[in-house]
Amino acid sequence: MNVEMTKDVVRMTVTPGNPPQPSSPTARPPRVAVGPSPAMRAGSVLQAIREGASVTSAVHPSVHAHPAAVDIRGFELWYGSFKALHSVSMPIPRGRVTAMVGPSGCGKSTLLRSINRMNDLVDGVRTTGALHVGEHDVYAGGVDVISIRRRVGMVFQKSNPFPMSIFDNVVYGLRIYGERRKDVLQECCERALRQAALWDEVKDRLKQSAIGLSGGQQQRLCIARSIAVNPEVLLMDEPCSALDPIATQKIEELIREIAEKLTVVIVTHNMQQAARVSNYTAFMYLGRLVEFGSTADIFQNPQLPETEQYVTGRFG
Amino acid sequence: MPTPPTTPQPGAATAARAGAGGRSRPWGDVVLGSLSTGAAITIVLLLAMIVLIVVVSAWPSIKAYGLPFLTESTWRPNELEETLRDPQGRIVYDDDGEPKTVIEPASFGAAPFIWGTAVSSALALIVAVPLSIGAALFIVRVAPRLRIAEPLGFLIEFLAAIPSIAYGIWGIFVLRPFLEKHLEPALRWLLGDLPFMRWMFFRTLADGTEVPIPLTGRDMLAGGLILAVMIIPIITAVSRDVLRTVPRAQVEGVLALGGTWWQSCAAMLRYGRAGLFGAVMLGLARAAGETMAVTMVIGNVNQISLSPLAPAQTMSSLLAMDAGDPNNPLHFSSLFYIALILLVMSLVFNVIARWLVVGSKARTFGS
Ligand SMILES: Nc1ncnc2c1ncn2[C@@H]1O[C@H](COP(=O)(O)OP(=O)(O)O)[C@@H](O)[C@H]1O
Ligand SMILES: [Mg+2]
Repeated sequence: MNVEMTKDVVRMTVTPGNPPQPSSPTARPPRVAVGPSPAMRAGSVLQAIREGASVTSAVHPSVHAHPAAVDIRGFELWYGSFKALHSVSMPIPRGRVTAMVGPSGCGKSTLLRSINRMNDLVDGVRTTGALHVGEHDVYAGGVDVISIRRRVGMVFQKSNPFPMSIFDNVVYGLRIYGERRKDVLQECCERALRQAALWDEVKDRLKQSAIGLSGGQQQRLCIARSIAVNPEVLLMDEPCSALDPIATQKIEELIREIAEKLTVVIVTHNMQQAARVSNYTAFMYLGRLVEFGSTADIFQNPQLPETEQYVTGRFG
Repeated sequence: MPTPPTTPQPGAATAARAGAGGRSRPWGDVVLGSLSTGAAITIVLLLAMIVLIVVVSAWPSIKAYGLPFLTESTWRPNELEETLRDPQGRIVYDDDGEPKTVIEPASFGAAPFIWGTAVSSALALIVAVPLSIGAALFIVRVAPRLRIAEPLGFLIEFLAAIPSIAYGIWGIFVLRPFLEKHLEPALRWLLGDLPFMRWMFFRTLADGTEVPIPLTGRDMLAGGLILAVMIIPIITAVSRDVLRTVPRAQVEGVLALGGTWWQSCAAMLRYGRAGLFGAVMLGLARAAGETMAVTMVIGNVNQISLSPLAPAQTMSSLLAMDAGDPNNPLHFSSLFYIALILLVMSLVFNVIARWLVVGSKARTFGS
């Protein structure tokens, strides 16, 4: 499956469909369809995408059961002249775990990094469409990017502890927001480490360098660092892909726990992981959102045969 | 896997050895191999010879003065004939009514030059380090967006390659007049009246009177500034390489937490601190060993003065001035003693710098 997918991706990138002409956000109405068109039912959605057609995402009504923590509407993104996201519309439910799956290169990371505007770091990125985090329009002119990023935490594929003590790592965010009171910092540090299921392992060596921790511990430390500042949304980009199964299991448990307090969006290439940790699953393909619904529906009762084939590993 | 016998390709020897065990090596490989081994041995021998000759030549002075040489502040290559005075300070006359004289022997000590090298290098670092690290940050964080990282990098490497005599000429004809006519008068106008800054503008004579230090532009400050200009390229280039090895994830980690651009820069500097310190040490090594340009502007007076506006002398500029014709064997030997100090010093700086820079590149934090 992987080999054939890679071929497809390569084929797509050399023949991009739409010319890079961003339309104004108002000109393009959000495409939130309830079900796929008959043509799509015929099993040709992925084929149509590969040929560059614009397709309507199959967004299940169940995703509207919760208010959206992140509301993406008609969002498109270009890296220079390469269009990486095609009119993605996706209401991400508040207080739930949403998984993004899809073959590599389909734009999962790009979409995730659009939510906290990490794409600003890439030269030549342009976007159209709307993306709201709560009430805040993330791409409004003059928006304070820093305040957006304080609401939206992020955990990366490779753990990236800073070269300082465990304690200093966890309270880093608080310190750069100006918090100086020792007792407040200590309290937040303990709370975040407990939430990240790391407290018992490190409570006796908070002053030691974070670099000495194991890979799994480092990743949990990064999660603690992100949640120490109380974000509304936590973005995770394949957080377990560099970890062994036991470390992965610990992180999956902790994702389910922290999701009681905040909204988690997790990119994963592991279908079992998506099934285990998420309440909702989005299937993406070549920059499009193909199908988005509750994880149970996506895995057991998807609207599109392509989705079923992908999530069961019988893709292509 | 047949190897063409006469083509001395790199790797051919390894291939032959690994693939067909027991087959004799092609003669081209043998020639090339022995040539390069010979070259390597020659370099090591050369280095050993230099060290040996320096130590042997310095030996009489080492024997005569020992370690106190480092703290002795007299450097008098000639014998000194002085009139003899009694304890009350009156001149003593001999039977013919002529003043009696004593001969003071030549005397050597390295303190003024160690002081000159240390202070001028420190001044250079104070000026050069913030500028260089700022420039390196600019090249790594800003210049790529403006598409000028490559030209800037080239420019800096070019600056590093300018011969030091060119900097010296610039020092004499541009820097020195500027210091004399503008910067130093401005300094005196600004700070000269502050009681706690008098040390900078006055020197105290033996009888306790204070006289103003003439502002000439040939002084420790000029030496420090020209050294700063000369070490900026190397500190910038090495710092840039160090900062480039900081993983993206470190910068993104700070930004994703809501850090500002400056905070992400600070994180870069923190991550690369060992390598940056190494870059500074490399700059220091260059500053301490730099000769021509400093000799031309530092004033060449063998003294220890607190004031950066007083002329001074560094170890390397003393060597350049005195090595031409030493007055006596001990003078000759003392110059080599100073060369030995310089040699050991730059060795220490370079070893520390290499260890820090290479170490920081090899270290990978967090994966
Ligand atoms: N910085 C970038 N510049 C140009 N193209 C990029 C950049 N990042 C990603 N892309 C392209 O955008 C597409 C989506 O990438 P990405 O979001 O990383 O996919 P995924 O995370 O699903 O594997 C890929 O075709 C990739 O080559
Ligand atoms: Mg990705």
